[in-house]
Amino acid sequence: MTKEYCEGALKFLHAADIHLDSALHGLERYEGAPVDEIRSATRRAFDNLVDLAIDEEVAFVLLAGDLYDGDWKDYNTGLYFVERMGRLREAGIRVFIVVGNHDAASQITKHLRLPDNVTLFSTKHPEQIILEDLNVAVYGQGFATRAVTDDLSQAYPQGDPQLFNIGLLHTCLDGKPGHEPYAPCTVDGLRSKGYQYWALGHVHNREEVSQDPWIVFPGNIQGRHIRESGPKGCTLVTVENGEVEEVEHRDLDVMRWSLCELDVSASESVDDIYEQVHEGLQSALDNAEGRPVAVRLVLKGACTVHSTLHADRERWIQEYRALATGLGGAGIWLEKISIKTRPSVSVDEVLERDDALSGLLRAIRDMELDGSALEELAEEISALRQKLPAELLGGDEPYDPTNPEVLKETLEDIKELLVSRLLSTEKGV
Amino acid sequence: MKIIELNLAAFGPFTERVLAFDGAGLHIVYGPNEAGKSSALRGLKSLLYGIDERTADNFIHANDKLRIHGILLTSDGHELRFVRRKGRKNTLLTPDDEVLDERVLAPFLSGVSSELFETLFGIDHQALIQGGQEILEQKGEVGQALFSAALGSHALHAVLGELDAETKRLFLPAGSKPVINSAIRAHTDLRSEIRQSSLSSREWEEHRRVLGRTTKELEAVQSKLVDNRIEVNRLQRIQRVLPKLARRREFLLELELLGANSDKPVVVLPDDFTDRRRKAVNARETAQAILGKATPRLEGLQKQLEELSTNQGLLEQAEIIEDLHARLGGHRKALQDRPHLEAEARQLLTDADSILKEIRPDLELTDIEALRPVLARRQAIAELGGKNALLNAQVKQAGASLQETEKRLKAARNERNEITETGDTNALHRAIAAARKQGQLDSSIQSAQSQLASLQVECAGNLARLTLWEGDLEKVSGLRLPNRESIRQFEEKYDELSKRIQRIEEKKEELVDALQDTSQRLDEIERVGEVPTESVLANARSERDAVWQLLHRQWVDGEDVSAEASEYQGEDTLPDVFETRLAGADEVSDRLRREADRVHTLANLQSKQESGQQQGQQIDQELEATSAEKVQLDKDWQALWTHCQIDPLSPREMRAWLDEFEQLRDQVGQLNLLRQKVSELEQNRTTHIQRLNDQLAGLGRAGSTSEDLEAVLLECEALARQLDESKRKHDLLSKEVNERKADVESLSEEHRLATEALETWKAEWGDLMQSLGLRAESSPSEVDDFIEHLRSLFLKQGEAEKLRIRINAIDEDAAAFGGQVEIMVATIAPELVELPADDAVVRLNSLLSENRTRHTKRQQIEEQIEQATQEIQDSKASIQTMTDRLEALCVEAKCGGVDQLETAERRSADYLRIKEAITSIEKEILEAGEGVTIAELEAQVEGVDPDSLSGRITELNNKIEDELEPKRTELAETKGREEKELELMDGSDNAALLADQAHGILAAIRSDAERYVHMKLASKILHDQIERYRKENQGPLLKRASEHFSALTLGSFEGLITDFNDKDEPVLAGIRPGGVRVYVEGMSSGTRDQLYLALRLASLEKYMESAEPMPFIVDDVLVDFDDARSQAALNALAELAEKTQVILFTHHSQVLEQSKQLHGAVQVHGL
Repeated sequence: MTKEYCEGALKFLHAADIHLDSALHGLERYEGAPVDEIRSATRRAFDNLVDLAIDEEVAFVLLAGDLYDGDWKDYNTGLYFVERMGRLREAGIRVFIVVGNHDAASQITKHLRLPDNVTLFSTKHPEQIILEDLNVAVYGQGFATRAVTDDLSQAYPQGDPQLFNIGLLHTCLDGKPGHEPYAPCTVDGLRSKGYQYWALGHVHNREEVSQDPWIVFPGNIQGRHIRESGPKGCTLVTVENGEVEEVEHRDLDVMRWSLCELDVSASESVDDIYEQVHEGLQSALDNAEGRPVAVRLVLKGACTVHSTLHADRERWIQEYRALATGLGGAGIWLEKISIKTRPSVSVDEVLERDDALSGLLRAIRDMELDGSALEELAEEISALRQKLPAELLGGDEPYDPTNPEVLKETLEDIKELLVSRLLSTEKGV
Repeated sequence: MKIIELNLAAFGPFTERVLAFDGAGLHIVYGPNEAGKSSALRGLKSLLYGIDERTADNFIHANDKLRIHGILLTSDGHELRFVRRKGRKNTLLTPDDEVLDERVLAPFLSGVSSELFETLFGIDHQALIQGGQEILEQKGEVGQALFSAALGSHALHAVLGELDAETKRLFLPAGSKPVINSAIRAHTDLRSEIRQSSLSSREWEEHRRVLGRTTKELEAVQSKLVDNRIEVNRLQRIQRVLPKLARRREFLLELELLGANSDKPVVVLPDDFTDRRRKAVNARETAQAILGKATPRLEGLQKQLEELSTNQGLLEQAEIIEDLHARLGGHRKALQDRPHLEAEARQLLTDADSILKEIRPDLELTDIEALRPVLARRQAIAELGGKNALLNAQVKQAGASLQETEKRLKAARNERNEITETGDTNALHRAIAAARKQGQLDSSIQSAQSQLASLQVECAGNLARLTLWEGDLEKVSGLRLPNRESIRQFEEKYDELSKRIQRIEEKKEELVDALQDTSQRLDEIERVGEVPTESVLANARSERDAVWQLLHRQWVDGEDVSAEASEYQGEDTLPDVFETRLAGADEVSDRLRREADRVHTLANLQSKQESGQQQGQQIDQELEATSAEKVQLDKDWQALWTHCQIDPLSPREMRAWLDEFEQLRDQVGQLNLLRQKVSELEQNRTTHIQRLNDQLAGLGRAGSTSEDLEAVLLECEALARQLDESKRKHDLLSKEVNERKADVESLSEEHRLATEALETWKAEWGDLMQSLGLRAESSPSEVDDFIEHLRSLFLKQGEAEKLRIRINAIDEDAAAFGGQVEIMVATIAPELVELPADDAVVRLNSLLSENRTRHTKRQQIEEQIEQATQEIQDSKASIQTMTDRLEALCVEAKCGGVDQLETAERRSADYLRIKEAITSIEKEILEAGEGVTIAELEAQVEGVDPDSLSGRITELNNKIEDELEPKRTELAETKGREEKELELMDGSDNAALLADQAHGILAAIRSDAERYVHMKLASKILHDQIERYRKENQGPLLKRASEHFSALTLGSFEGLITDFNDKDEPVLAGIRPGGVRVYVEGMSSGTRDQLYLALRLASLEKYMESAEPMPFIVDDVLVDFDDARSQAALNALAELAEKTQVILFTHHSQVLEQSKQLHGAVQVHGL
C-alpha cells in the first residue's frame, strides 16, 4: 500500500452493544401483531452491519464491546457471529473487538475461535495494533471481569503523531444514567492521549461526545425495548489525509421502538381521541421508514372522557390494536397502552355529598392516602404475586402489583370501572 | 334544584313548547302515544347535560337549530335562565345567545352526573321491573338492596357477578386453567425449552474432538481392509484358473494326434458338404425309378384312342335341334285348340243378329254402323228426359199456392173493417204522470194540517209560561236581546269582583287578628317595663354631646357659656350635669345591649303594628274602590236590557232565561214554516185536477166532479188503457192485409213462368225422337231401353271379330315348323325322312346326346398321353445333372471317387471340434484370470499348492468380516453422528426465538395480571362499601322504606324487617298482618316491584336530607299496578313532591283520572 492510498480515502465502521440474540421485551403477542416481521431482529440488524461494511468497502470494523447478552448461553449465537466474521474475511475486511461487561460474563466469548481477520484485544493490558498499509494504529483493552471499575484508558499508550490513532474502549465515560458505571474515564483523560478517534461502547444512545478529538458512542444497533426507542445503527467514519473527514450515523435496525405520547385534553369524545391515536400511530409508522414499529401509546392530559377511558381499558386496547393492525405498512406492534389522563372537572362536590356513590368515591380516595388500607388491598392479591415469574417482579421494568405506588395508580381505574358499571343501564330518562 | 320552566323551543317534534313546572305539588306531563313524551323526557335531560351527539330529535329542526330553554331554581333561591344548543363545545347559552360557561350549572346539579341523574333521579317502567328482579337475584340481601336503591342501579348483582367471574377467568391461586395460571406454566415450559435448545460451548468442543479422532481411526481401518481384499482376490483367481489350464493342455495333445501337422493335411470341408453330397445321390436314384414306369403307360393310352369315333355333322347342328325340340309342345297344343275357337265365333254372330231384329227390324247386321253415334250422345238424351217430371211438378205447385193466399187476404180485410173506436191518448198520459209524481198529496196535506194545529197549541202554552216579558207570538221572532258573550263577560266581571271583595275582606280579617295579636304582645312587653329604644339612646347622647360642647368651649376656648348652660343646669354645675348625662347615655346604651332581645322584639312588634295599620287603611281603600266598581257594574247591566223592556235578574239567571226564550223563538219559527207548507200543498193539488179534466174534455168525455186527486186519476187511467188497446189491434190487421197483397202478386208470376218452361221442353224432345227413328211421344225410359240393346249388339259383334284373327295365326305357325324340320332331316339324318315332323324332332334329339358323350371320352385320353411323354423327358435330364454334381464334389475333397467322400468328411469334422474346444477354454481362463495373460497365469500357478489355497482364503475372509468390517461400520456411524450434531449446531436462532416468545408471554402475564388486580380489588372495595352503607343507614332507611312498602301494598304487608339467612347474612323480609314473614323469593313480582319502589323513595328522601334536592323524573311506572295500588303509588309520589320536585310522564289517561283524587296539589301539563 502506498501512502497516497491511505491518505486518499479511508473508511471504517464503528459499532457497539450488538447484544446478539437478545430478546425483545414487553411485546405481548396478539392477533394482527407483526410477529414475523420482527423475528431475529438483532441478528438481522447485525447482518445489515456486515452488508454495509462490504458495500461501503470499509477497511475495517470496530466493535466496542457487548457482542452478547451476559446471561445468554446458547453457543449458536457465537457460531453465527463466527460465520459473519468469515464473510467479512472473504471481503478482505479486518475486525477489531474489545469485550465489554456483558461479554466478560458470557461463556460464549471464552470458547469461540475467531477467523484470522478478527483481532480480539487483550483483557490484561492495552494493546497496540499498527496497520502499516493504512498508516493507522488501533489501541484497545477488553473487560477481564463483568464489573471493571478502573479507568482503563489511563494505561493506553500515547498516540503516534505519524499515524491515525484510534482508541477502542468499552466505558460509561463519566457516568451515564441507566447504565452500569463501568470503566469510568473522562473526556480530558481521553483527549490527553493524542488520538484522532475514540470508538466507545456501552451507552446505548448515540452520542458524539466530542469532535476534537472525535469521541463517539454509536449507540446499539437494534432497540430491544421501549427505552431504546428511535433509530439505531452504527457510525461510518471517513478519514482523509490523516484527518476525520466525515462522521455519519447509518441505520441498521430492522424494527423501531416508538413512544407515542398524546395530550388528549383537547379531545371532546372518544372519537376525537381515536383520530388523534390514528395520527400518532401513522406518524410513528412513517418515522420508522418502512420498518415495523413497536409503539407504546400514552394518553395524558385532563379530558372530559377520562371516565370512559379508564372504565374499560380492554376495549381501548382491542380498538387501538385493531386500528394499528389496519394501518398496514410494515406493521405496528402496540406494546402497551398507558392511560394517564385526569378528569376535566373537579369531583369535590360529589365527595361532599352523603350518598352511596359519594361514599364509594370517598372510600377510594381515602385509600390512596391510607397505608394500612393499601396493605389490605395488597393482601387481597398476594396469591397472584407469589405465582408471578421472577423476571416480571425484577428486571428493567419491574411489575409488582402489591407495590403501594402501583396500587395507587390502579385505584383510579377501579373507581371509574365501578362507577361506570354500576350506573351503566339502558334507561329512558 | 327545581326546573321552573322547560321550553322545548326546537327539539324533536316540538317548537316553542313550554312546560311551566313552577307550581307546587306533583307535575304530571300527559301525552298520548306519538305526542312526543319520549322526546320531552330526552329534552329535559338534554337541557341539563347536553344534547346527545347522535340525537334522533333532529327530524324537524336541523342539528344546528336544536334549542332547549330552561329556568332552574335552587332551594336557596338562585335562579338560572339558559339555553342549551347541540354541539361539541359551548353548548350553554344565555337567553340572548351568548356563550355561558358550563360551570354556572354546577351549583344547580350539585355534582350529580348525567348517569347518576338517570339512575337515581329517574325511574321508568323497565327500571322498576329490573329493580324488582334485582332484589330477587340478590335474594333480598339487605346491603345490596339498600346500595342498589341508593344508586338507582339495578346492575349491582350483575356487576358483582361479572367481577367475580372475570377474576376467576384470569387467575386462581390453586388453579391451572385460568388465563394467568396457564400463561405462567407456558412460560416455565418455554424456559426449559430454551435451556434444551441452547448449545453450550463445552458440548461444541467435545463433539469436534470426537469427530477428529474418529475420522483418523476410520481412515486406518479402511486401508487395512483394502490390502486384505486384494490378497483374497489373488488367491481366489488362482483357485479358479488352475483346472482350466490343465484341460487346455489335453486338447492341444489331441490335435497333434489327428495328424494335422503331417504331410497329408486335413481338408477342412464347408459345413454343407455332406448335405450336398447326400442330396445329389438321392436325386439320381429317384429319376431312374420314374423313367422305368412311364414308358409302358404311354403305349396303352395310344391304343384306347384309336378305338373311339363320332358323327361330326350332328354335333355341328346341335343348337337348331335343341330349338326345334323346345317348340314341339307349343306346336302340338295350338293344333288341338283351333276347332273350339271357330265354334265360339259363329255363336256370337247369331246372338247379335237376333238383338238387331228386336230393336230395328228395318236394318241388317251390316248396316248397323250408322247407329254407332247414338251411343256417344247417350248422356245428353238421358238429361233431357229427366227434366220432364220436374217441370210438370212446378206448374202444379204454383197454381195451388196462389189460390190459398188470395183466400187469406180476403179474410183480413173483413176483420179490419169491423174496428171503429179510436183517439190520441199522449196528452192524457203526460197529465197522469205529472200528477202521480207529486206522491200522496192528499194524505200529506192531511198530516201537515194536524201538526200545525198541535204546534200552535204548544207555542201558546210556552208564551204564557215565559216571565219578565209581555208580548204575543208574532213579536217573539223580532225581539232584539243582548248576546251571550256580553252576558258571560258580565258574569265574569261579577265573579271576579266578588272574589276580590272576599279576598280583601279575608285579608282585613287576618289583619285585624294580627293587629290584635301585636298590640296584645306590645302591651305585654310594655307592662314588664319601659323598653329602651335607639331613639332614647340617640337623644341621651345628643344631650350629653351638647353639654360636652359647652364644657369644651368653656374650658378649652375659655368662652363664656353660662347663658347656654343655664338651659341644662339645675342645681348642679355644668360638669356635674355632663357626668349625669354621660352616665345616663351609658345606662341607656347598656340597657340597649342588655335587653337587646326585648328591644328587638319591641321594635319588631312596633314596626309590625305600624305596617299593619297602614295595610288596614289600604284595605279599606280597596274595599271602597270595589264597592264603587260594583255600583257601576249594576248600572251597565241594567242598561244592557232596557231596549227590550226587561228588568234583568243576575247574569247567570238571565242566561237561563235566554235559553228558555230562544227555545220559544225556535218553536215559533217552526210554526210559520209549517203553515206555509200546507198552503203550498193545497195549491198544487187543485192545479193537477184541473189539468186532468181538460184532457178528458179534449177526448170528448165529461170532466170528473171529484175533489179528490186520486179519484180523478183512477178515472183517467181507465180511459187511457181502453183507447190504447183498440189502436193496437187496428194497426196489426192493416199490416197483415198489406203483406198478403204482395204475396198474391209474386205467386201469379211464378205460375206463369213454370207453364212456359214445360212447353219449351216438349218441342225439344219431339225433335230428338225423330232423329232416333222413334215416336215423338216415346217416354224417356223407352229411349233408355233402346240405347242399352244397341250397346249389347255392338259388344257381341266385336268379340266374334277377335276370335277370327286368332284362328288365322295358328294356321301360319304350323306351316313354318313343318318346313324347318323337313330341311334338317334331309341334311343330317336322311333315314328319318319318312317320319312326321314331330316324331322326327324327337329322334334327332336322342341322337345328339349320344354323340356328345363319346366326344368327351376322347379328349381325356389325349391329355394322359401328353403327360406321360413329359415325364419320360424330365427323368432323363435329371440323371445327367446329378452325375455331373458328384464328380465336382470329389474334386473339392481331393478324393479319387465318390466312395471316398464320406471318410474325408469325418476327418474335417474332428479337426474343427478340437480347435473350438481350445478357443473356449482359453476364453474362460482369461475371464477368470481378470485380465492376466495365460502365460503370466501359468507362471503364477507354478509351484502353488492347490490344497492349501482354500484354507488361506477362508482365513483372510474371516478377518475381514469379523474384525475389520464391523470396526469400519462403527467408526463411520460415530463420524456421521458427530457430523450431524455439528451440523445442527449451525448458529441457528431457535433458542433466541423461543426467548422472544417467552418475553411475549411475560408481557401477556403482566397485562392480564393488571386486569386481574383491577377486577379483584374492585370487587373487594365494592363489597366493603355495600357493607359500610348497610351498617350506616340500615335503621332509618328500612324504617322509612317499611312505611312506603306498607302504603304501596295497601296494607297487604305491615312493613319490612331484617332477618338472617342460613349464611347469617342480613336479608329483607316483608311482614304480613299477623306477623307472617315473607321473603323476597316468596313475593309476587308486582310486590317486589313495589318493594323496590319503596326502597327507592326512602333512599331519595335520605339523599335530600343531606344534599340539594333534584327533580325526580318518573316515566310511566304505574302501568302494571292495579287501580288501587296505582292510586297508592300516586299518593306516595305526591307526598314526595312536597319535599322535592316530582315530574311524572305518562300516556295513560287513567293516571290523570286518579290524580284528581289526590290530597296534595297536582298540575297536569298536556303535550
